[in-house]
Amino acid sequence: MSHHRKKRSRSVRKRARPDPAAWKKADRPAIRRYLLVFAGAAAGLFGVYWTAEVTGKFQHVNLLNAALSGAVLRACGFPTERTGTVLQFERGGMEIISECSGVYVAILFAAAVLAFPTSWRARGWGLALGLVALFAVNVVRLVTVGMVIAWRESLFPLVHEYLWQILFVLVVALLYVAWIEKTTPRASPAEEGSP
Amino acid sequence: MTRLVRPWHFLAASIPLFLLWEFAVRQPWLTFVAHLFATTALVFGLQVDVLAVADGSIRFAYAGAEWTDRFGLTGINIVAFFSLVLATGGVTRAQRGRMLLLGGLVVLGTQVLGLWSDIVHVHLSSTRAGAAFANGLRALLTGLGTFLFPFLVWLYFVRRRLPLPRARRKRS
Repeated sequence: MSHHRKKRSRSVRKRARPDPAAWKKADRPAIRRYLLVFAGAAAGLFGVYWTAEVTGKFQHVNLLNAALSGAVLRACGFPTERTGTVLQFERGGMEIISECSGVYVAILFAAAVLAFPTSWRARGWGLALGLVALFAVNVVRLVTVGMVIAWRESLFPLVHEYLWQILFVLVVALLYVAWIEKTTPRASPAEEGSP
Repeated sequence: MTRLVRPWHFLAASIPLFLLWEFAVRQPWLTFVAHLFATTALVFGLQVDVLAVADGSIRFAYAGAEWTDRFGLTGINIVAFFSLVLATGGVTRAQRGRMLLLGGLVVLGTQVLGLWSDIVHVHLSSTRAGAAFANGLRALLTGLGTFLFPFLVWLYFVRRRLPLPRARRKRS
C-alpha cells in the first residue's frame, strides 16, 4: 500500500515538472520584447528629460529638491540657508544640480515598469507610488549628504558616491521586484524557472 | 520571483566591495579602463593619450584638446552590479560566477563606450548644436548609463525569473 502511494506521488511530481527547453522557447519572444521595450523606454524618457534640461524647465525639480532638503535639514536642527538651488550650511554648502535630482533612477524605474507586460492600471499605480518613493529616498539622500557636509566635509565623496551610485540601484531593484510581485499572480511550481 | 533581491545580502556585499573599490581597486580599474579606451581608439586610428589617473578622475588628450573626466562616479557601477549579483537569491554558485564574469565584462564594455562620448564631444563641441548633442550623449551613456547598464545586464541574467508570460496571461 505504502509502496503504491510512493509510486503515485512520484508520477504526479513527474507530470508537474516543466520541460525547460519548451518553456525557454515559449518565453523567448516575451523576454526579447521586454528588454527591447525597456531600453527603448529608457532612451525615450531620457530624451524627454534632456529636452527639459536644455530648455531650463527641469530647474523647477532642482528647486523643489533644494527647498524640501533645506526644510528637512532645518527641521533636523542644521542651520541651512537656501538661495535658489544652493544650500549653505555653517560649514560648507552644496548645489543641487539635475544629476542630484534622482532623475536617472526615476527613468530607470519608469522604463522597467513600462516594459513589464501588465495592465496600464497596474503600470499607473506602480509609476505613481514608485516615483514618489524614489523622490522621497532622494530627498533623504540629499539631507544625509547635507548633514555630512555640515558635520565633516571630508566624508562627502564617500557618502555621496556610495549612497548615490550604489544604494540607489538596490532601491530601484527592490521597488521593481515588489511591484512585480504585487501585479503578477503567484507562480505554480511548474512555472518556476532558473536564470 | 521570491527573494530575487536580498537587501541584507546587498548591504553585506556592497559595503566591503565599496571600501575595496575606494581604497584599492578604483585607481587600477580606472587606469585599466582608460588604457583600454585608448587602445580601442587606436584601433579606429585615433590617438588618445592618457595623461593622468588620480582621485577618481582621468585626464585625456586628443586632437589638441585636454580634458578631465570624473569617471570614478560612473566606474563605480561595477560595484553596484557585483553587489546586485551577490544579492540575487536562488542561483547556484556556478550561475553566480557566470553572471559576475560575463556581466562584469559587459559593464566594463559600457564604461569604455561611455568614454567614447568624450571623443564625440571633442569633434562636435565647435558648434552649439553639436555640443548640445555631445553633452546629451555623454549624459545618456555616463549619467543614465551608470544606473541603466548594470540594472539592464542584471535583468538579462534574471530574465527567466521574471514572470513575463504569466503577467501577459493575466493581462489577456
